[in-house]
Amino acid sequence: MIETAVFAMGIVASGVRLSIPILFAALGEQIAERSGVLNLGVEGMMLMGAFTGFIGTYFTGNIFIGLALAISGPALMAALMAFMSVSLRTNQLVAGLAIWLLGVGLTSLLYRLIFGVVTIAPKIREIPPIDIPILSHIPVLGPILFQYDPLVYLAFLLVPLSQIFIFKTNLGLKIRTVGENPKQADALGVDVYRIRYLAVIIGGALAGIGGSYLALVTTGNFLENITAGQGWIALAVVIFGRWKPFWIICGALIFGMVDAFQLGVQAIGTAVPSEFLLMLPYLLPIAIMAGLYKRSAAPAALAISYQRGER
Amino acid sequence: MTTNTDGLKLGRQDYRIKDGEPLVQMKSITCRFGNLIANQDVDFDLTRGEIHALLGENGAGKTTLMSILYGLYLPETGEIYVRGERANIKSPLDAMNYGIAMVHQHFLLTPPHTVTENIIVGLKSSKRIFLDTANAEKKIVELSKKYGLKVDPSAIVGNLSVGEQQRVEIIKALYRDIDILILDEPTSMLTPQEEESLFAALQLMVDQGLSIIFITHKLREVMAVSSRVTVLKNGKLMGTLKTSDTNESDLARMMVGRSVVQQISGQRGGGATESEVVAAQAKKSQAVLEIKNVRALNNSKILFLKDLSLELRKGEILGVAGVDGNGQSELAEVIAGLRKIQGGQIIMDGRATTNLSPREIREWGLAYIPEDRLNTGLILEYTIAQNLILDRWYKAPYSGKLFLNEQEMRNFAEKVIADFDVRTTGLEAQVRSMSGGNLQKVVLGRELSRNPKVLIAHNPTRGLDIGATEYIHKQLIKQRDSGVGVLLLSLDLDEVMTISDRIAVIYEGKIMAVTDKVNADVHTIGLLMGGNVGKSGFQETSGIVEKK
Amino acid sequence: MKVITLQRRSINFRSSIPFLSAGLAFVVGAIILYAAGVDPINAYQIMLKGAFGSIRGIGDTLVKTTSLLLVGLAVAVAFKCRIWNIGAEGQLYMGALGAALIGITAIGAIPGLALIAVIAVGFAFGGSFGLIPAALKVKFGVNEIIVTVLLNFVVLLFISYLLHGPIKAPGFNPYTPEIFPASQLPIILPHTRLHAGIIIAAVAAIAVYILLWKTKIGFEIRSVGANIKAARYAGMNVAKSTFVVMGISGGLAGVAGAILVSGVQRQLLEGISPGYGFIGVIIALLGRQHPVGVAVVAFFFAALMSGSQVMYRTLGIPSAFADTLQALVLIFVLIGELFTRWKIKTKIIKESGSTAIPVK
Repeated sequence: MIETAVFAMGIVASGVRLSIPILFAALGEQIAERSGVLNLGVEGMMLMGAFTGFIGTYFTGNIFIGLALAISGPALMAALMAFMSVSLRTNQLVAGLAIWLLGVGLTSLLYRLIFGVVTIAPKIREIPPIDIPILSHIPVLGPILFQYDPLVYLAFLLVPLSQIFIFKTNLGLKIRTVGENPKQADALGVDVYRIRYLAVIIGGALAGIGGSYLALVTTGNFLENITAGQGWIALAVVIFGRWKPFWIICGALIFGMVDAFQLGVQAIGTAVPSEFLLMLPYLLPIAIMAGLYKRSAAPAALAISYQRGER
Repeated sequence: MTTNTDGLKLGRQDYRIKDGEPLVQMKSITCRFGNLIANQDVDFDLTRGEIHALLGENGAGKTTLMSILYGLYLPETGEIYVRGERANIKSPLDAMNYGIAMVHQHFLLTPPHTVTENIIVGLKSSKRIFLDTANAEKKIVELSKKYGLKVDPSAIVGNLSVGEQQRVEIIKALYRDIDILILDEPTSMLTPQEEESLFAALQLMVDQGLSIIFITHKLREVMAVSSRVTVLKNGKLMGTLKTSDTNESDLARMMVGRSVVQQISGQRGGGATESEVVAAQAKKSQAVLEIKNVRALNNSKILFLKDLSLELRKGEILGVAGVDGNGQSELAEVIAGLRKIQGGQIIMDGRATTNLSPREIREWGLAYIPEDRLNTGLILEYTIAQNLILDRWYKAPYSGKLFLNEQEMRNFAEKVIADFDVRTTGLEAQVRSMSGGNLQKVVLGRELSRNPKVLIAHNPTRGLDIGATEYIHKQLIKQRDSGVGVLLLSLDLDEVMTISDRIAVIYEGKIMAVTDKVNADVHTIGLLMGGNVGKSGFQETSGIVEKK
Repeated sequence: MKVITLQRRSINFRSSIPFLSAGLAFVVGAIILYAAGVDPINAYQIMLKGAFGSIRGIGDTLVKTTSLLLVGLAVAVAFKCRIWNIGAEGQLYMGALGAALIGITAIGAIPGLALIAVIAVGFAFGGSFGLIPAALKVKFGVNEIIVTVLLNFVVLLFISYLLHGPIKAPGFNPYTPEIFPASQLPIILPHTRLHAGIIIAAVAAIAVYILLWKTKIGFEIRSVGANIKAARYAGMNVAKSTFVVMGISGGLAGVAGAILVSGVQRQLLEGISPGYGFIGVIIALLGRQHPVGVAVVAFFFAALMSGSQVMYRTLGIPSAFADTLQALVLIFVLIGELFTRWKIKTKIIKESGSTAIPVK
């Protein structure tokens, strides 16, 4: 009995950590999509974040520089995405796919060029969990809730922060209006292009932090395709999180938990082949999206380019 | 310039306007879109405290002129003065800084957001980066009381009625401390009661010091509400009058112009003599399309066709005149089967078409030249041949069991090109590269080749040059002469008056009256288009023309 | 009131943009190489020689062209109907699985029949797998992009499971036994690895062309993709087009997978495809979803990849260089294309002497 309890607690704790990359990425993507831009390049930006974050930390030994790079690299990619989608009015789906593939190729290429072929992957010291005094010693709950690395707390903090940002600030209202009715925003003096650029870049930056979590905390090194599709899962999470931060964190946590569960089950040993368990995080979004059909809460102007004067 | 808490600059208090001096002056405004002259050398002025109506038909340039004042377009020539000072308005933000706001005909609202959110977006708040909803709601309620425009600040806009939404739109403008308000066709979707509340509110606004520009095509409104009226026609200024100095009749004449009166006294297009016409009409009085008490919703789910009844006869051109947005598109779509009807019946050549698919209706004998030929009628990437078979690709001889029969398609295309004198760079060219007139000929060729019983032509010559227009008219007349019932829906009154045998007027989803061409009086028609009911003493004629 | 419609620039002008863009991508690639301490000119020379400098090189290039052409066609067919199939990689693997299953069982030993079965089953496996996102889209309105991407991962895991267990060859390595010789595509160019698969790919290209441009169903598919409103008005069936297109798309990707097993590796193993399905997306976009364009781009990318392999062997430059270049070409083409359109708009407005453009 106690063993199951301990096992369960371990899964929960692990699940929280596994949900963080998706959480960051989804929160960021939600902001971009609320301004009307569908950014399919999230996966590429997460990879870039993992890569630049790793590189920064590895070569300077300074985690903050690593994080700064984890934000700037993807932010640049996001700026390119915004340039193509907003200024040039390229088909947003195509632009996003191109950015994704660029992210995949570029991160692999640069990593190999820098490190060559190595038998032992270069490693950095992962960000250690912080021990919140007193609280972390609470039996049972302590280890689950209060012994995470700082990025976890940052991610959790971002949930109410982004909720407030989106719904309670002037800028948030502008973003939402631009995504629902850009003509209205334009007629009221809001700079639609600038708002979209801003939203997409914020999205990219957050995706970058999410990606960097994998390198800076989870594994301590960079592997090609380290994100393994989590950027795409983040896109799905935004959809069934109905573009609301509090639902998004639920979605991200569900994934984290499912992932942790299947890892835990594998560790214990089970008749079910590990590969099928690994499939769960990918099948789940499909099932949920099918279940939610026809009740879209998407911003009305999502993925539609805007130009003043167009009818 | 001082700043108020909303961050807008208030210039108005620094200038003293002498009584009678205009608040706004627009001088010699010319605005072109490509080769289309939307405004030509137009002057317009607004004095303080007046409600100034801007009257005209479609395409007269009213909305363009006001869009320029609101900073959405830049004029080619001309100047704008606001409160005596030369105004450089390059964006809506500039316009708002000058105290000008515009309420558009098609509302710019975000349905999932609250009233307050829709109103305050883009404004600075007193709480720095945070929305100050509480204060905003207070101000909204104040404005609401002040002008008699009832709104609930916390309501979700998507749940509001059209009238309520419009009030939100107006308060959205008033909220920005403006004193010049432009309303573009504000009553187009209101009930009579809502209209009354609106007019009452307008009066209150004027009492409080606002000045209002009221764009409309409805003569009654002009007379009821304005103190002055400016009439535009075809982009040109026809005149500015004090409302008390004029009446609906004169305004109608100014609005639709004298040229048409000249034209219809000449020969009918096609060159038939009066007696031939009489004889022909006496024979072909059988109805081929009966529209009975049809009700239908528009895209915003509002009842738009309201008990519309109309009868189209064999071998005639029935022209439906009317200002845009009075139900023409919806009417065409219900006949073609593209829009469901909520009530009533449509009978085409003896068969009720109410539940048939567009394809079935097409096969039963309908030809349809849609208004937006580029979207519904044609696929721009395709060649002429491919576009020509969009209505018959599944049938022999254009396709067999599996394959398209390209030779047949080519033959058909060549025939249409020859028959309709279509100018094209080659059979393999994408139609995208063809001119509007030629595109229309392709559509025409396709539709007419089916030997239809009924032909709907919706704005068939819109955007075309004189040559193409004349050609289309000739074709329509040819169809008529061979017994087809042609329903011409057109925003161009000249066109309707010239080639129609009978003329109907559509207004607010209903047919106001139907008359023979010979009896048609453009002035009366103008009145009817403007919603003037009953004064004209109009009656439906039975098709027999009595020579006087 | 008269309006003049804007004339687009001639096709010829627009066609030259992609070459300029490709050039730009190579410039960026050169910068990266230089920063890595490699002489770009030397590297590109090696790449060129690797791709075309020897019979073996040409053979390799053509082998890769086979796979790229098939996935390019697969994705192009879907895109032509505006169905964003990003799952070609997974569909490819399903086809490879089907081929391997035939190849290691009794049927695979029958000469003549084996090869036909290999290709047909490859098509069937890939195609039926492709119907899944189609069904989800038609029935539930689920966005096909996310579904197809996620299904890729599912398939890879499934294959991995099979290769570690049920269909593993004796021993420790995660691959199937070698397929029977009757199931192997013969080499058609001696001293190279070029096998008969290239013929199949060429036939597929012709078949796709005929299907899309000559048949009734092809007309429907293209119409739905070009203008869904006009297509509906013409009475076309969007759901049917969706299923047909995804079935063929998945099927073609499946054939690509089958050929990889039958012609290149002679067995199924993990990583048999270096991401061909994803490169197929780029190829379809750059080739404008037309078999000829796809073939040209596929060949070009194949040269890139085989040349890149030689670059790796001699200079140690990773194969991801080719991936990066491919993505860069796409991005520069996208950017270049729209700059052309922009110039047209402002130019014509200036010519008519009007400033009545919407205020920016």
